[in-house]
Amino acid sequence: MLYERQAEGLLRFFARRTLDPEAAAELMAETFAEAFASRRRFRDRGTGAAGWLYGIGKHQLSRYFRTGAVDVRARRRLGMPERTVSPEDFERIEELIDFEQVGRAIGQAFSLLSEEQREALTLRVIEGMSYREVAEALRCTEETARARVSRGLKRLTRTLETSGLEHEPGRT
Amino acid sequence: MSASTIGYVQTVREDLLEAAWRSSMAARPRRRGPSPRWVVAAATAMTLIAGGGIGWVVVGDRATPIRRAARSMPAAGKPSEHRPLPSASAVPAPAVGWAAFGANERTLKRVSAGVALDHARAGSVSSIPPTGDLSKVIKTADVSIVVPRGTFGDRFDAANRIADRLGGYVQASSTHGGRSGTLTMRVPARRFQPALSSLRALGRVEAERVSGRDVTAQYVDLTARRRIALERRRVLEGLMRRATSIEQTIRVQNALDDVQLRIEELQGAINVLNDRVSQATIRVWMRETGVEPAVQNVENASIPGAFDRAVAGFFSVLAGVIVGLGYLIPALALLALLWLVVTRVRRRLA
Repeated sequence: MLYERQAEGLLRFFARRTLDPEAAAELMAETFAEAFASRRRFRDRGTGAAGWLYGIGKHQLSRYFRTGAVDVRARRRLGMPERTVSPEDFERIEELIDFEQVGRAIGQAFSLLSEEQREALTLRVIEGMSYREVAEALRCTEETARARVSRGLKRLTRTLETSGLEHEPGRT
Repeated sequence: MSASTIGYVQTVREDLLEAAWRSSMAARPRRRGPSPRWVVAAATAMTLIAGGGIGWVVVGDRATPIRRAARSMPAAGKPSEHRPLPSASAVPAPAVGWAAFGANERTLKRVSAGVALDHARAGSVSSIPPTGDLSKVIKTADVSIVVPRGTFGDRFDAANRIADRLGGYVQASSTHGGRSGTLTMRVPARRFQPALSSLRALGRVEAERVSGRDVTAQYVDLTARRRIALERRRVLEGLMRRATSIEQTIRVQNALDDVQLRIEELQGAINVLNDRVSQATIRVWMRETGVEPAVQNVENASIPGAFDRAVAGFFSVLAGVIVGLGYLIPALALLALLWLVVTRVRRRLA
Protein backbone atom coordinates (compact mmCIF):
# COMPACT_ATOMS: atom_id res chain seq x y z
CA MET A 1 0.00 0.00 0.00
CA LEU A 2 1.30 3.41 -0.99
CA TYR A 3 0.56 4.92 2.40
CA GLU A 4 2.52 2.34 4.34
CA ARG A 5 5.48 2.63 2.00
CA GLN A 6 5.60 6.40 1.75
CA ALA A 7 4.03 7.86 4.92
CA GLU A 8 7.17 8.15 7.05
CA GLY A 9 9.32 9.23 4.14
CA LEU A 10 6.89 11.99 3.28
CA LEU A 11 6.72 13.01 6.91
CA ARG A 12 10.50 13.26 7.00
CA PHE A 13 10.40 15.26 3.75
CA PHE A 14 8.09 17.82 5.30
CA ALA A 15 9.78 17.81 8.70
CA ARG A 16 13.22 18.61 7.28
CA ARG A 17 11.82 21.48 5.25
CA THR A 18 9.53 23.04 7.78
CA LEU A 19 11.51 22.05 10.91
CA ASP A 20 8.06 21.94 12.51
CA PRO A 21 6.83 18.43 13.48
CA GLU A 22 3.20 19.54 13.79
CA ALA A 23 3.14 21.26 10.40
CA ALA A 24 4.96 18.30 8.86
CA ALA A 25 2.40 15.83 10.23
CA GLU A 26 -0.50 17.93 8.96
CA LEU A 27 1.13 18.38 5.57
CA MET A 28 1.60 14.63 5.34
CA ALA A 29 -2.06 13.99 6.19
CA GLU A 30 -3.28 16.66 3.78
CA THR A 31 -1.06 15.34 0.99
CA PHE A 32 -2.45 11.83 1.34
CA ALA A 33 -6.00 13.16 1.55
CA GLU A 34 -5.47 15.20 -1.60
CA ALA A 35 -3.90 12.19 -3.34
CA PHE A 36 -6.86 10.00 -2.40
CA ALA A 37 -9.39 12.61 -3.50
CA SER A 38 -7.70 13.03 -6.87
CA ARG A 39 -6.72 9.40 -7.38
CA ARG A 40 -8.78 9.14 -10.59
CA ARG A 41 -6.63 11.83 -12.18
CA PHE A 42 -3.41 9.87 -11.56
CA ARG A 43 -1.45 9.23 -14.73
CA ASP A 44 1.91 7.51 -14.43
CA ARG A 45 4.40 9.77 -16.19
CA GLY A 46 7.41 7.64 -15.38
CA THR A 47 7.83 8.62 -11.74
CA GLY A 48 5.25 6.16 -10.43
CA ALA A 49 2.75 6.77 -7.68
CA ALA A 50 5.48 7.97 -5.28
CA GLY A 51 6.60 10.70 -7.65
CA TRP A 52 3.01 11.79 -8.10
CA LEU A 53 2.59 11.83 -4.30
CA TYR A 54 5.68 13.95 -3.78
CA GLY A 55 4.47 16.30 -6.49
CA ILE A 56 1.34 16.89 -4.46
CA GLY A 57 3.48 17.21 -1.36
CA LYS A 58 5.67 19.92 -2.91
CA HIS A 59 2.58 21.78 -3.96
CA GLN A 60 1.25 21.61 -0.41
CA LEU A 61 4.59 22.72 0.97
CA SER A 62 4.84 25.75 -1.28
CA ARG A 63 1.33 26.72 -0.28
CA TYR A 64 2.30 26.34 3.36
CA PHE A 65 5.32 28.60 2.92
CA ARG A 66 3.23 31.10 1.00
CA THR A 67 0.28 31.29 3.39
CA GLY A 68 1.91 30.20 6.62
CA ALA A 69 -0.80 27.59 7.26
CA VAL A 70 -1.40 24.00 6.26
CA ASP A 71 -4.30 23.51 3.90
CA VAL A 72 -7.20 21.41 5.26
CA ARG A 73 -9.56 21.35 2.25
CA ALA A 74 -8.86 17.80 1.11
CA ARG A 75 -9.30 16.37 4.62
CA ARG A 76 -12.56 18.26 5.07
CA ARG A 77 -13.80 17.10 1.71
CA LEU A 78 -13.20 13.50 2.77
CA GLY A 79 -14.63 14.04 6.21
CA MET A 80 -11.29 13.39 7.94
CA PRO A 81 -10.87 14.95 11.37
CA GLU A 82 -7.94 17.30 12.06
CA ARG A 83 -5.70 15.34 14.40
CA THR A 84 -3.31 16.85 16.92
CA VAL A 85 0.23 15.56 17.30
CA SER A 86 0.87 13.93 20.68
CA PRO A 87 4.08 14.78 22.61
CA GLU A 88 5.43 11.29 21.88
CA ASP A 89 4.86 11.70 18.18
CA PHE A 90 6.33 15.17 18.31
CA GLU A 91 9.61 13.73 19.56
CA ARG A 92 9.60 10.90 17.04
CA ILE A 93 9.07 13.33 14.17
CA GLU A 94 11.91 15.47 15.48
CA GLU A 95 14.04 12.35 15.37
CA LEU A 96 13.15 12.02 11.74
CA ILE A 97 14.41 15.53 11.13
CA ASP A 98 17.78 14.60 12.69
CA PHE A 99 18.71 18.10 13.75
CA GLU A 100 22.32 17.09 14.24
CA GLN A 101 22.56 16.06 10.62
CA VAL A 102 20.68 19.11 9.51
CA GLY A 103 22.86 21.40 11.57
CA ARG A 104 25.98 19.72 10.24
CA ALA A 105 24.76 20.03 6.71
CA ILE A 106 23.84 23.68 7.17
CA GLY A 107 27.20 24.46 8.73
CA GLN A 108 28.98 22.71 5.91
CA ALA A 109 26.94 24.51 3.31
CA PHE A 110 27.49 27.82 5.08
CA SER A 111 31.22 27.33 5.08
CA LEU A 112 31.18 26.89 1.32
CA LEU A 113 29.86 30.43 0.84
CA SER A 114 32.20 33.34 0.17
CA GLU A 115 33.18 35.60 3.04
CA GLU A 116 31.03 38.43 1.69
CA GLN A 117 27.98 36.17 1.27
CA ARG A 118 28.42 34.66 4.77
CA GLU A 119 28.58 38.12 6.34
CA ALA A 120 25.60 39.38 4.38
CA LEU A 121 23.51 36.30 5.25
CA THR A 122 24.47 36.46 8.93
CA LEU A 123 23.47 40.12 9.20
CA ARG A 124 20.29 39.77 7.19
CA VAL A 125 18.95 36.32 8.22
CA ILE A 126 20.36 35.65 11.69
CA GLU A 127 20.53 39.20 13.04
CA GLY A 128 17.49 40.41 11.12
CA MET A 129 18.92 43.67 9.84
CA SER A 130 17.33 45.64 7.02
CA TYR A 131 19.18 45.82 3.70
CA ARG A 132 20.12 49.44 4.36
CA GLU A 133 21.70 48.44 7.69
CA VAL A 134 23.44 45.49 6.07
CA ALA A 135 24.80 47.82 3.36
CA GLU A 136 26.08 50.31 5.95
CA ALA A 137 27.73 47.52 7.97
CA LEU A 138 29.42 46.05 4.89
CA ARG A 139 30.20 49.52 3.43
CA CYS A 140 28.55 48.77 0.13
CA THR A 141 25.45 49.86 -1.69
CA GLU A 142 22.04 48.49 -0.79
CA GLU A 143 21.81 46.79 -4.19
CA THR A 144 25.09 44.99 -3.58
CA ALA A 145 23.87 43.82 -0.14
CA ARG A 146 20.70 42.44 -1.72
CA ALA A 147 22.69 40.64 -4.40
CA ARG A 148 25.06 39.05 -1.84
CA VAL A 149 22.17 37.78 0.31
CA SER A 150 20.29 36.46 -2.70
CA ARG A 151 23.27 34.66 -4.19
CA GLY A 152 24.24 33.25 -0.78
CA LEU A 153 20.76 31.81 -0.19
CA LYS A 154 20.70 30.20 -3.62
CA ARG A 155 24.07 28.59 -3.13
CA LEU A 156 23.08 27.43 0.37
CA THR A 157 19.95 25.82 -0.99
CA ARG A 158 21.85 24.02 -3.74
CA THR A 159 24.41 22.71 -1.28
CA LEU A 160 21.74 21.47 1.15
CA GLU A 161 19.91 19.75 -1.69
CA THR A 162 23.00 17.75 -2.52
CA SER A 163 24.01 17.05 1.08
CA GLY A 164 21.42 14.34 1.74
CA LEU A 165 18.79 16.47 3.41
CA GLU A 166 16.68 16.31 0.28
CA HIS A 167 14.39 13.28 0.38
CA GLU A 168 13.06 12.08 -2.90
CA PRO A 169 11.24 8.81 -3.57
CA GLY A 170 13.70 5.99 -3.71
CA ARG A 171 16.32 7.93 -1.82
CA THR A 172 15.41 7.21 1.79
CA MET B 1 7.74 -1.47 4.98
CA SER B 2 6.67 -2.26 8.51
CA ALA B 3 3.94 -0.25 10.24
CA SER B 4 5.13 3.10 11.50
CA THR B 5 5.76 3.61 15.20
CA ILE B 6 4.38 7.13 14.98
CA GLY B 7 0.84 7.16 16.31
CA TYR B 8 -0.14 10.14 14.14
CA VAL B 9 0.77 8.17 11.01
CA GLN B 10 -1.36 5.24 12.17
CA THR B 11 -4.29 7.52 12.99
CA VAL B 12 -4.18 9.21 9.61
CA ARG B 13 -4.05 5.78 8.00
CA GLU B 14 -7.25 4.77 9.77
CA ASP B 15 -8.87 8.09 8.84
CA LEU B 16 -7.98 7.50 5.23
CA LEU B 17 -9.37 3.96 5.30
CA GLU B 18 -12.58 5.24 6.81
CA ALA B 19 -12.81 7.96 4.18
CA ALA B 20 -12.24 5.36 1.48
CA TRP B 21 -14.98 3.17 2.90
CA ARG B 22 -17.38 6.10 3.08
CA SER B 23 -16.50 7.02 -0.46
CA SER B 24 -17.15 3.50 -1.71
CA MET B 25 -20.48 3.37 0.12
CA ALA B 26 -21.51 6.78 -1.15
CA ALA B 27 -20.63 5.94 -4.73
CA ARG B 28 -23.80 4.43 -6.13
CA PRO B 29 -23.21 1.36 -8.18
CA ARG B 30 -23.37 2.19 -11.83
CA ARG B 31 -26.52 0.93 -13.35
CA ARG B 32 -26.23 -1.50 -16.12
CA GLY B 33 -28.15 -0.46 -19.11
CA PRO B 34 -28.34 2.15 -21.79
CA SER B 35 -26.72 5.54 -21.44
CA PRO B 36 -28.83 8.58 -20.56
CA ARG B 37 -28.57 9.77 -24.16
CA TRP B 38 -30.12 6.56 -25.39
CA VAL B 39 -32.80 6.78 -22.73
CA VAL B 40 -33.68 10.34 -23.78
CA ALA B 41 -33.66 9.37 -27.46
CA ALA B 42 -35.83 6.34 -26.78
CA ALA B 43 -38.23 8.37 -24.65
CA THR B 44 -38.52 10.99 -27.40
CA ALA B 45 -39.08 8.33 -30.04
CA MET B 46 -41.67 6.60 -27.87
CA THR B 47 -43.44 9.92 -27.28
CA LEU B 48 -43.52 10.66 -31.00
CA ILE B 49 -44.71 7.16 -31.83
CA ALA B 50 -47.36 7.31 -29.13
CA GLY B 51 -48.37 10.76 -30.37
CA GLY B 52 -48.52 9.47 -33.92
CA GLY B 53 -50.61 6.49 -32.82
CA ILE B 54 -53.05 8.65 -30.93
CA GLY B 55 -53.16 11.09 -33.83
CA TRP B 56 -53.78 8.26 -36.28
CA VAL B 57 -56.63 6.96 -34.16
CA VAL B 58 -58.14 10.42 -33.72
CA VAL B 59 -57.62 11.68 -37.26
CA GLY B 60 -57.89 8.31 -38.93
CA ASP B 61 -61.30 7.55 -37.47
CA ARG B 62 -62.72 10.70 -38.94
CA ALA B 63 -60.93 10.35 -42.23
CA THR B 64 -61.64 6.68 -42.78
CA PRO B 65 -65.13 6.99 -44.25
CA ILE B 66 -63.98 9.71 -46.59
CA ARG B 67 -60.91 7.80 -47.65
CA ARG B 68 -62.87 4.60 -47.98
CA ALA B 69 -65.29 6.33 -50.26
CA ALA B 70 -62.49 7.93 -52.22
CA ARG B 71 -60.70 4.66 -52.69
CA SER B 72 -61.69 2.09 -55.18
CA MET B 73 -65.00 0.50 -54.51
CA PRO B 74 -63.95 -3.16 -54.62
CA ALA B 75 -61.41 -2.55 -51.87
CA ALA B 76 -64.16 -1.70 -49.45
CA GLY B 77 -64.60 -4.42 -46.89
CA LYS B 78 -68.22 -3.80 -46.18
CA PRO B 79 -70.97 -1.94 -47.94
CA SER B 80 -70.95 1.73 -47.31
CA GLU B 81 -74.06 3.50 -46.24
CA HIS B 82 -76.44 3.88 -49.09
CA ARG B 83 -77.51 7.44 -49.41
CA PRO B 84 -80.49 7.78 -51.67
CA LEU B 85 -80.01 10.58 -54.12
CA PRO B 86 -82.54 13.36 -53.66
CA SER B 87 -84.70 14.04 -56.61
CA ALA B 88 -83.79 17.00 -58.68
CA SER B 89 -86.77 19.02 -57.59
CA ALA B 90 -86.08 18.32 -53.94
CA VAL B 91 -82.56 19.67 -53.97
CA PRO B 92 -82.53 22.90 -52.01
CA ALA B 93 -79.25 24.01 -53.52
CA PRO B 94 -80.61 26.45 -56.12
CA ALA B 95 -81.55 28.92 -53.45
CA VAL B 96 -78.02 28.70 -52.12
CA GLY B 97 -76.67 28.95 -55.62
CA TRP B 98 -78.66 32.03 -56.37
CA ALA B 99 -77.67 33.59 -53.11
CA ALA B 100 -74.05 32.91 -53.89
CA PHE B 101 -74.56 34.42 -57.26
CA GLY B 102 -75.90 37.55 -55.60
CA ALA B 103 -79.19 37.57 -57.46
CA ASN B 104 -82.59 38.59 -56.25
CA GLU B 105 -85.92 37.18 -57.26
CA ARG B 106 -86.40 39.57 -60.17
CA THR B 107 -82.98 38.77 -61.52
CA LEU B 108 -83.82 35.15 -61.24
CA LYS B 109 -86.83 35.49 -63.46
CA ARG B 110 -84.92 37.53 -65.98
CA VAL B 111 -82.04 35.07 -66.10
CA SER B 112 -84.45 32.17 -66.39
CA ALA B 113 -86.05 33.80 -69.34
CA GLY B 114 -82.63 34.51 -70.80
CA VAL B 115 -81.61 30.90 -70.34
CA ALA B 116 -84.71 29.68 -72.13
CA LEU B 117 -84.08 32.14 -74.92
CA ASP B 118 -80.41 31.14 -75.19
CA HIS B 119 -81.31 27.48 -75.36
CA ALA B 120 -83.81 28.21 -78.07
CA ARG B 121 -81.17 30.14 -80.01
CA ALA B 122 -78.40 27.66 -79.52
CA GLY B 123 -80.57 24.72 -80.41
CA SER B 124 -77.81 22.31 -79.44
CA VAL B 125 -78.54 21.65 -75.78
CA SER B 126 -80.16 18.35 -75.08
CA SER B 127 -82.47 17.46 -72.24
CA ILE B 128 -82.99 20.98 -71.03
CA PRO B 129 -85.08 20.90 -67.93
CA PRO B 130 -88.26 22.90 -67.79
CA THR B 131 -87.85 26.58 -67.08
CA GLY B 132 -89.56 26.20 -63.75
CA ASP B 133 -87.00 23.70 -62.51
CA LEU B 134 -83.51 25.15 -62.63
CA SER B 135 -81.84 22.39 -60.58
CA LYS B 136 -78.79 20.91 -62.21
CA VAL B 137 -77.42 17.83 -60.48
CA ILE B 138 -74.72 15.51 -61.80
CA LYS B 139 -75.53 12.02 -60.62
CA THR B 140 -72.88 9.36 -60.22
CA ALA B 141 -72.86 5.96 -58.60
CA ASP B 142 -70.24 3.33 -57.83
CA VAL B 143 -71.47 -0.17 -57.29
CA SER B 144 -69.47 -3.24 -56.40
CA ILE B 145 -71.32 -6.48 -57.09
CA VAL B 146 -70.35 -10.02 -56.21
CA VAL B 147 -71.94 -12.71 -58.35
CA PRO B 148 -71.97 -16.50 -57.83
CA ARG B 149 -69.20 -18.63 -59.32
CA GLY B 150 -69.57 -19.36 -63.01
CA THR B 151 -72.11 -16.61 -63.62
CA PHE B 152 -69.83 -13.67 -64.29
CA GLY B 153 -70.16 -13.75 -68.07
CA ASP B 154 -73.95 -13.77 -68.06
CA ARG B 155 -74.28 -11.16 -65.34
CA PHE B 156 -71.76 -8.85 -66.99
CA ASP B 157 -73.67 -9.07 -70.27
CA ALA B 158 -76.86 -8.36 -68.37
CA ALA B 159 -75.29 -5.23 -66.93
CA ASN B 160 -74.35 -4.12 -70.44
CA ARG B 161 -77.89 -4.72 -71.59
CA ILE B 162 -79.29 -2.61 -68.75
CA ALA B 163 -77.55 0.41 -70.24
CA ASP B 164 -79.06 -0.29 -73.66
CA ARG B 165 -82.49 -1.03 -72.28
CA LEU B 166 -82.70 2.24 -70.35
CA GLY B 167 -81.63 4.37 -73.30
CA GLY B 168 -78.05 4.75 -72.21
CA TYR B 169 -74.77 3.38 -73.42
CA VAL B 170 -71.63 1.66 -72.15
CA GLN B 171 -68.77 4.14 -72.03
CA ALA B 172 -66.05 1.68 -71.01
CA SER B 173 -65.88 -2.00 -70.22
CA SER B 174 -63.11 -4.41 -69.29
CA THR B 175 -62.86 -7.91 -67.86
CA HIS B 176 -60.07 -9.64 -65.95
CA GLY B 177 -59.62 -13.37 -66.48
CA GLY B 178 -63.29 -13.92 -67.21
CA ARG B 179 -64.17 -13.73 -63.54
CA SER B 180 -64.19 -10.03 -62.80
CA GLY B 181 -64.60 -6.83 -64.70
CA THR B 182 -65.47 -3.17 -64.63
CA LEU B 183 -68.10 -1.27 -66.50
CA THR B 184 -68.85 2.41 -66.87
CA MET B 185 -72.28 3.24 -68.23
CA ARG B 186 -74.13 6.45 -68.94
CA VAL B 187 -77.89 6.40 -68.57
CA PRO B 188 -80.42 9.22 -68.77
CA ALA B 189 -80.65 10.96 -65.43
CA ARG B 190 -84.32 10.17 -65.05
CA ARG B 191 -83.47 6.45 -65.43
CA PHE B 192 -80.77 6.58 -62.80
CA GLN B 193 -82.70 4.84 -60.03
CA PRO B 194 -84.13 2.09 -62.29
CA ALA B 195 -80.63 1.40 -63.57
CA LEU B 196 -79.29 1.05 -60.07
CA SER B 197 -82.16 -1.24 -59.08
CA SER B 198 -81.51 -3.45 -62.08
CA LEU B 199 -77.80 -3.63 -61.31
CA ARG B 200 -78.42 -4.51 -57.66
CA ALA B 201 -80.55 -7.41 -58.81
CA LEU B 202 -77.57 -8.95 -60.61
CA GLY B 203 -75.87 -10.13 -57.42
CA ARG B 204 -74.90 -9.25 -53.91
CA VAL B 205 -74.07 -5.59 -53.54
CA GLU B 206 -70.76 -5.45 -51.75
CA ALA B 207 -70.41 -1.70 -51.69
CA GLU B 208 -72.30 1.18 -53.13
CA ARG B 209 -71.83 4.88 -53.28
CA VAL B 210 -74.30 7.27 -54.77
CA SER B 211 -73.58 10.95 -55.07
CA GLY B 212 -75.07 14.00 -56.63
CA ARG B 213 -73.16 17.19 -57.31
CA ASP B 214 -75.26 20.27 -57.57
CA VAL B 215 -73.96 22.47 -60.38
CA THR B 216 -76.93 24.80 -60.59
CA ALA B 217 -74.96 27.87 -59.55
CA GLN B 218 -72.26 27.09 -62.07
CA TYR B 219 -74.84 26.57 -64.76
CA VAL B 220 -76.65 29.82 -64.05
CA ASP B 221 -73.36 31.65 -63.97
CA LEU B 222 -72.39 30.29 -67.36
CA THR B 223 -75.74 31.08 -68.95
CA ALA B 224 -75.79 34.60 -67.54
CA ARG B 225 -72.29 35.28 -68.87
CA ARG B 226 -73.31 33.88 -72.23
CA ARG B 227 -76.39 36.10 -72.30
CA ILE B 228 -74.27 39.16 -71.64
CA ALA B 229 -71.87 38.08 -74.35
CA LEU B 230 -74.75 37.61 -76.76
CA GLU B 231 -76.06 41.07 -75.96
CA ARG B 232 -72.61 42.49 -76.51
CA ARG B 233 -72.39 40.73 -79.87
CA ARG B 234 -75.73 42.21 -80.87
CA VAL B 235 -74.50 45.71 -80.02
CA LEU B 236 -71.24 45.13 -81.88
CA GLU B 237 -73.14 43.92 -84.93
CA GLY B 238 -75.11 47.19 -84.89
CA LEU B 239 -71.87 49.14 -84.67
CA MET B 240 -70.45 47.14 -87.54
CA ARG B 241 -73.35 48.11 -89.71
CA ARG B 242 -72.75 51.75 -88.91
CA ALA B 243 -68.97 51.67 -89.38
CA THR B 244 -67.83 54.21 -91.97
CA SER B 245 -64.08 53.65 -92.12
CA ILE B 246 -61.77 50.69 -92.49
CA GLU B 247 -60.20 51.37 -89.12
CA GLN B 248 -63.58 51.35 -87.39
CA THR B 249 -64.52 48.18 -89.20
CA ILE B 250 -61.34 46.39 -88.17
CA ARG B 251 -61.65 47.42 -84.52
CA VAL B 252 -65.28 46.35 -84.30
CA GLN B 253 -64.51 43.13 -86.10
CA ASN B 254 -61.75 42.30 -83.63
CA ALA B 255 -64.11 42.91 -80.74
CA LEU B 256 -66.75 40.80 -82.43
CA ASP B 257 -64.28 37.93 -82.88
CA ASP B 258 -63.40 38.02 -79.20
CA VAL B 259 -67.02 38.00 -78.16
CA GLN B 260 -67.82 35.19 -80.55
CA LEU B 261 -64.97 33.10 -79.16
CA ARG B 262 -66.15 33.76 -75.64
CA ILE B 263 -69.71 32.80 -76.55
CA GLU B 264 -68.52 29.53 -78.01
CA GLU B 265 -66.43 28.74 -74.95
CA LEU B 266 -69.35 29.42 -72.66
CA GLN B 267 -71.66 27.40 -74.85
CA GLY B 268 -69.22 24.48 -74.80
CA ALA B 269 -69.05 24.56 -71.01
CA ILE B 270 -72.83 24.70 -70.80
CA ASN B 271 -73.11 21.77 -73.19
CA VAL B 272 -70.72 19.72 -71.07
CA LEU B 273 -72.68 20.52 -67.95
CA ASN B 274 -75.94 19.67 -69.64
CA ASP B 275 -74.52 16.40 -70.88
CA ARG B 276 -73.27 15.42 -67.48
CA VAL B 277 -76.52 16.43 -65.88
CA SER B 278 -78.70 14.69 -68.39
CA GLN B 279 -76.64 11.52 -68.42
CA ALA B 280 -75.87 9.90 -65.08
CA THR B 281 -72.66 7.89 -64.73
CA ILE B 282 -72.63 4.50 -63.08
CA ARG B 283 -69.41 2.61 -62.51
CA VAL B 284 -69.81 -1.07 -61.84
CA TRP B 285 -67.23 -3.43 -60.37
CA MET B 286 -68.32 -7.00 -60.75
CA ARG B 287 -66.52 -10.14 -59.61
CA GLU B 288 -67.26 -13.72 -58.83
CA THR B 289 -67.22 -15.02 -55.29
CA GLY B 290 -63.68 -15.83 -54.22
CA VAL B 291 -62.02 -13.48 -56.68
CA GLU B 292 -59.88 -10.83 -55.08
CA PRO B 293 -60.91 -7.28 -55.91
CA ALA B 294 -58.85 -5.83 -58.72
CA VAL B 295 -56.32 -3.22 -57.72
CA GLN B 296 -57.70 0.18 -58.52
CA ASN B 297 -56.30 3.68 -58.44
CA VAL B 298 -54.00 2.82 -61.31
CA GLU B 299 -53.89 6.50 -62.11
CA ASN B 300 -51.75 6.94 -59.00
CA ALA B 301 -49.22 4.36 -60.06
CA SER B 302 -47.10 6.92 -61.86
CA ILE B 303 -44.00 8.46 -60.32
CA PRO B 304 -45.56 11.92 -59.93
CA GLY B 305 -48.57 10.26 -58.41
CA ALA B 306 -46.36 8.33 -56.04
CA PHE B 307 -44.53 11.53 -55.14
CA ASP B 308 -47.80 13.30 -54.46
CA ARG B 309 -48.96 10.44 -52.32
CA ALA B 310 -45.65 10.42 -50.45
CA VAL B 311 -45.90 14.15 -49.73
CA ALA B 312 -49.52 13.75 -48.68
CA GLY B 313 -48.56 10.79 -46.51
CA PHE B 314 -45.74 12.76 -44.90
CA PHE B 315 -48.03 15.60 -43.98
CA SER B 316 -50.72 13.18 -42.85
CA VAL B 317 -48.27 11.51 -40.48
CA LEU B 318 -46.99 14.90 -39.32
CA ALA B 319 -50.52 16.09 -38.69
CA GLY B 320 -51.27 12.86 -36.85
CA VAL B 321 -48.19 13.29 -34.66
CA ILE B 322 -49.09 16.90 -33.88
CA VAL B 323 -52.64 15.95 -33.01
CA GLY B 324 -51.40 13.04 -30.91
CA LEU B 325 -48.92 15.24 -29.07
CA GLY B 326 -51.77 17.58 -28.29
CA TYR B 327 -53.38 14.71 -26.43
CA LEU B 328 -50.17 13.30 -25.03
CA ILE B 329 -48.36 16.37 -23.69
CA PRO B 330 -50.95 17.31 -21.04
CA ALA B 331 -51.07 13.67 -19.93
CA LEU B 332 -47.26 13.51 -19.72
CA ALA B 333 -47.15 16.80 -17.85
CA LEU B 334 -49.62 15.44 -15.30
CA LEU B 335 -47.60 12.24 -14.96
CA ALA B 336 -44.39 14.23 -14.49
CA LEU B 337 -46.06 16.34 -11.81
CA LEU B 338 -47.31 13.22 -10.08
CA TRP B 339 -43.86 11.64 -10.24
CA LEU B 340 -42.31 14.81 -8.78
CA VAL B 341 -44.75 14.86 -5.90
CA VAL B 342 -44.29 11.16 -5.16
CA THR B 343 -40.49 11.49 -5.28
CA ARG B 344 -40.47 14.44 -2.91
CA VAL B 345 -42.83 12.74 -0.49
CA ARG B 346 -40.70 9.60 -0.53
CA ARG B 347 -37.55 11.63 0.06
CA ARG B 348 -39.13 13.42 3.00
CA LEU B 349 -40.32 10.14 4.46
CA ALA B 350 -36.87 8.66 3.98
